[in-house]
Amino acid sequence: MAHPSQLGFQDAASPVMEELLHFHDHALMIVFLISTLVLYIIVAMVSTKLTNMYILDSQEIEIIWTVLPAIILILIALPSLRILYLMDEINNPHLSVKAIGHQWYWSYEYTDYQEIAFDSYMIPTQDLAPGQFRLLEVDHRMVVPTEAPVRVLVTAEDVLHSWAVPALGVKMDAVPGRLNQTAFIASRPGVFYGQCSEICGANHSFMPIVVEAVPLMYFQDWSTLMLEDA
Amino acid sequence: MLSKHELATKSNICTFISEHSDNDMSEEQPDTDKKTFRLLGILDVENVPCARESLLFGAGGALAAGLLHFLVTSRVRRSYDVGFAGFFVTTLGSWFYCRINNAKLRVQERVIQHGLRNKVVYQGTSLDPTQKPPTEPGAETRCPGLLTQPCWSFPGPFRPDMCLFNYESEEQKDFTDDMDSGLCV
Repeated sequence: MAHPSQLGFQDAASPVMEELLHFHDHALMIVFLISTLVLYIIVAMVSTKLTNMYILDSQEIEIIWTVLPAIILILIALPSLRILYLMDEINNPHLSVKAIGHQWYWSYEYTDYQEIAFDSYMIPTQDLAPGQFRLLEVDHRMVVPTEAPVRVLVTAEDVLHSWAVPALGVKMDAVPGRLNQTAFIASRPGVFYGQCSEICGANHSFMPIVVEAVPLMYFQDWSTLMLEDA
Repeated sequence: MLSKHELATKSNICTFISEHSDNDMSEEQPDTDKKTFRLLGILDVENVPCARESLLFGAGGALAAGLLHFLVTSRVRRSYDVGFAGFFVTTLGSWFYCRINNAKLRVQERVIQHGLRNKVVYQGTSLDPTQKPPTEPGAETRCPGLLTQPCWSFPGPFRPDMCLFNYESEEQKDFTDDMDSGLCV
């Protein structure tokens, strides 16, 4: 999860998020170089003693400051489009989970084989155990196996919500009457936090998402436990 | 569908795991949060791969280009301009070079991870690629190119479709031999 005063991304927990991190580094370096160029030009313009009131045009610099930005944009666009299409690939998911947004909680349904369904409410601050995170913990987490493509079908029961987990690089709007699909692969075991990302009323900030990625063996045990209690 | 109340007494999977593990999950980890230095407030040179090296090379390139230009022309302001241009070009060039190599390493990492997982699963089974299956005389058993023998990344007996690449140069052969050496035994 994010730590206080964090500016950068959280550590990636999925291959797509790793790619996004690398693309972000790439774009940021280009942004940094352009910023230094602009700063240098500003300092040079301010400190020069040269003055010329009769410059009308200059073909050379016009060509440079047209071609160079075009090249820079291509250098940014190519990896960006690659990741865009990569994010749309959903190859043979091992598990499908339905995430349904309500005011103000999420519910999850695992209906591939038998039905597992439960609600996921935020744990109120006064009920938190020592070490738990305020406004992020939930009573029942969405458990998924690691190293398995998971498809998430996102919808809403009432108003717009958005299902987002930054560490996994996923965000999908939950629209009433519509089924949106996204997918991720949890590369490592862990607990990954997210929050509702579409304004949905008074408790919009108090309906977090927690995804718990565990090895397949533990996922099987968990699903058996859930089915036994159903 | 289970109600919230019905599920209230059920343990989370984390509790389930912690009960079966030796680690005490209630201990707080030491706070390792420390502010990292960001150039111009945006570029985290400590944690971004290749950033530090690129900027150091860029600084060196700026110094070299600017100094050389000044020694040749004795023009101060123009030398500053040339120095900055050297910084820009050197940083960008070393950045792309380092990132491309970094990307190749990441691909290698994924192949090796995939191979290690397959090794755990397939070692000792009929799909073990290190076991030599009976072959007819004259049958192809090795790739002429990249894969010198079936690898853990491709479990099972030799298949001609494993031979994805052929060496195009000695450098490529050295590069791929390094990649195969830890995995294909």
